[in-house]
Amino acid sequence: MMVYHVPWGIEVAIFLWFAAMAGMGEVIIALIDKHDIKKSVLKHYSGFILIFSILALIFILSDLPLFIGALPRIISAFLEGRFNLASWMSIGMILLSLEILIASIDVIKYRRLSKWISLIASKESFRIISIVIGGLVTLYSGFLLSVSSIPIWTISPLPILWIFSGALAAIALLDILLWLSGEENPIYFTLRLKFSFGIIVGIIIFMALHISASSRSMSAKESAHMLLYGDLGALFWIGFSLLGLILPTIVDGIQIFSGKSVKEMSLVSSLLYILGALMLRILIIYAGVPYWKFMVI
Amino acid sequence: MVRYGFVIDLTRCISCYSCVAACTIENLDPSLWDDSDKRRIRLRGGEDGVYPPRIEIGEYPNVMRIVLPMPCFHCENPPCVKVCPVGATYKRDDGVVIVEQEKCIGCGYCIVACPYGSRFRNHTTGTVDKCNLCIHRIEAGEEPACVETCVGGALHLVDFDNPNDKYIREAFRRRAFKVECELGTQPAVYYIPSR
Repeated sequence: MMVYHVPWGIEVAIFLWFAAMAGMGEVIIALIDKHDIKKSVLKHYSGFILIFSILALIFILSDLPLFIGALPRIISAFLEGRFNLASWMSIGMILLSLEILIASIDVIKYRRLSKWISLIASKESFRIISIVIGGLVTLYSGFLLSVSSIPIWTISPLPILWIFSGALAAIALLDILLWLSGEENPIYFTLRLKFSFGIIVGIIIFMALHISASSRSMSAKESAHMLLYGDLGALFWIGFSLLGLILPTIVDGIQIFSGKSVKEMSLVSSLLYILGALMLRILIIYAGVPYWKFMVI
Repeated sequence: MVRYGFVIDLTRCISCYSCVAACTIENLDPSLWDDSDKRRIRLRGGEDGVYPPRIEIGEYPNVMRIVLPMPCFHCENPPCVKVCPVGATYKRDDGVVIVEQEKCIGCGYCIVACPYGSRFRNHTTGTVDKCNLCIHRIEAGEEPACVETCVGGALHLVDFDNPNDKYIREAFRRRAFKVECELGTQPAVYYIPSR
């Protein structure tokens, strides 16, 4: 398979996936907190969000050849006033740390590990902070790519795509937990959300590829061509479009329009959405073609 | 005040790669010498021995394909500097953009941000590496390794704050061009066209 060597690889794609699910999961848990959802589901869901947040941090650190050795350098940059708050990388480090903190508070709250932390977490202001931080974590994962010299990573719909695709995967995870907990008939909640968000993701993908293919940049065009009918075409059409988006949307649509939800069908569609979100990120990363590959003088 | 940069005369470049070899031997650990992705200066357009080279210059009917010796452009407005989370890369007063190895965390964000592919990960140090204009040689009164070794005399270190520099005057007389991109980076490397 011919792909252009971009400096970031699969570990960054996995990081983006975890960050999106952690961020949008945080938003969802804050939004549904007051709703009539089984506490056991929220207990497990908050656990997953914390794990995803930590894994996001581990995967972004794994991209650093120094790994843990980078930490003293980051601390010394802080102490010497060199820490660049205008860089998305720095903003991300702060947001991910806050996300881990908030997710930990959620875990403590839903597992009733500490009374006073549960009290803090029950406040309206904590819910608002959770929504803001969760949303920013997901948005940041889009903006992180936006300052690159790789044109397809800089197209404007990407942060929005990350938001909706992350939300879709987070809702799909909630759907799985709801079904496994024995919650009855979640059709009017997660199923409809998954179906709507699936369609929105499809529309944004179409927009993103259209913008990329019709761009003046040769590198952006090449990226779109790689995805649509190039070396990444099979993965894009079969791996992401068909299995990760179209098939689960059809499965959910059938359930919604027939008015009957089937546990197995819903579980499969949710799993496919989650894997589709990962596939999307891998494809976008590997479809990157650096500006200098098609330099025009 | 000085403001360093390069003037590269493409009429004199014979694509011999001696600049690449000299730079690599001067600046890189021997364990990286076999890895053609790890270079502080590259000959763009002629990678992998491709002939004719890929970079097109001029407008029809006066079009030709060239190989472009590309060190770091030490841009006036370097996008790599803005994205560094720990301030390890910066532009010095003399115009040289450097990476402080002991401060770099190796996140690679500057590699992604550089539109010219001038940076790479040095896996022996775990940090990002790039052309630093052989600043250690300049401070010792010598020329950068690539300039000193250039067989055709195509590479010239210049001071853009010195209007009497003969290579700068030559560059303007012969309508030298810069590889500018839509980011407005303002490179400090001028190319004198082949014809």
